[in-house]
Amino acid sequence: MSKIIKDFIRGLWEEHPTFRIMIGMCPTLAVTTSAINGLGMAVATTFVLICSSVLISILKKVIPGGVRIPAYVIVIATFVTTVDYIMQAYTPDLHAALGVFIPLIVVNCIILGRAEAYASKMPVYLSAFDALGMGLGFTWGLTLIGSIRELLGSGSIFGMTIAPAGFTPIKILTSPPGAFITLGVLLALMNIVNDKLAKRAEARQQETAN
Amino acid sequence: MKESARMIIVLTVIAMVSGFILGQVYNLTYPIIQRNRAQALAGSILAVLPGAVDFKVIEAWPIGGLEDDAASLKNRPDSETDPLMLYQGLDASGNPVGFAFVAEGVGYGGIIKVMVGVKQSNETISGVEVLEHTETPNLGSRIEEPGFRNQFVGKGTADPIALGQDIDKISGATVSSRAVTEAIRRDLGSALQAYKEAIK
Repeated sequence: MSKIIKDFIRGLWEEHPTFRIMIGMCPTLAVTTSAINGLGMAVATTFVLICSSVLISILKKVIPGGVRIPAYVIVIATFVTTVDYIMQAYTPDLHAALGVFIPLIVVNCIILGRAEAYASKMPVYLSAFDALGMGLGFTWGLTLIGSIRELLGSGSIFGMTIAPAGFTPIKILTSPPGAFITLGVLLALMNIVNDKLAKRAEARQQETAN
Repeated sequence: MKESARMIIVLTVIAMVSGFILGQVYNLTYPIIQRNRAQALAGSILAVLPGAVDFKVIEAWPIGGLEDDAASLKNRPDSETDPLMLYQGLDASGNPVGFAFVAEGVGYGGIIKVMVGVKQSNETISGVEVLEHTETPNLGSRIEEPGFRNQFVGKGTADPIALGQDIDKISGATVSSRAVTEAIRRDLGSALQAYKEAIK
């Protein structure tokens, strides 16, 4: 039980795909121009991540080592294309906004990374929780970056204008350099928080030692 | 040998299963995707033609009109053998109120397609809607805003339809603004002519 929780929690902070392991940077930087785009991209990626992790974990004994990478890519590409068609059919607006980045989920390092590093070695249920944790970590990361860029860059959040009339949007935040700036600031903040947490843990340890 | 045979078989089976699943998903979603596209197109046609409740598709050729015979069509380059699609807007009692056509221009990030509505009575633009674009969010993408689009309303072939003259550009998005403006100016005359030929 604790193993499940540990696997699930890991992706949310400790090994956060965007802010700690720094993989899946292409969608992170490219689509987070607004909160809804970030959320939509992350949810689509999470769906593909969970499905492919589970399936790859099921098939891990069947797939010979020599062809495991092409096999994983086929599995992932199948799920991605399915998501692509379903989004075109049921959420055409979101699909139009995310455009070319949906097919590119295939080459998202998070998915192939988790397949190779985790799902291909671990039992199915643990792979599912690992994928869910990583996916949710990716989701809050992309939604946060998207929200910050939308709020400061366009004065709205999830498409609703909330900024007062006198607010001048910082336009650069919605353009590609703004993605790097936002990501950099968030990484710095996350490092500060982690430093504080580490120091506190250290102090507590010393206290108990004394 | 045994190992390589296993590799081939497993990969082939995975690819075949994948292909089968994708075929099924495609068949299931294709009609819905087509319907979405048709709805989006119909929505923008009605949006640029105030008073229209329905529309009729007219295929026209910008030069020569509909009466064009097969022989002269054959001698044209491929790009000119595609018909110009005109959408005639009809009001509740079935009378034509005007027509809409798609104008295309090259913007900053790719092709911009706009739906342009033209009023039948005085042959001026009654509305402009952006169909698709890949412009920079919050800069070029502001061509979608009514403040920019509505500047074209009331313009006809006699007007300059040019940036800095009767159309104000979006600050920071000159290329996108110009692409839309020039596409409309370029195509308005020929579309109008083709429409008049077609309904004659």
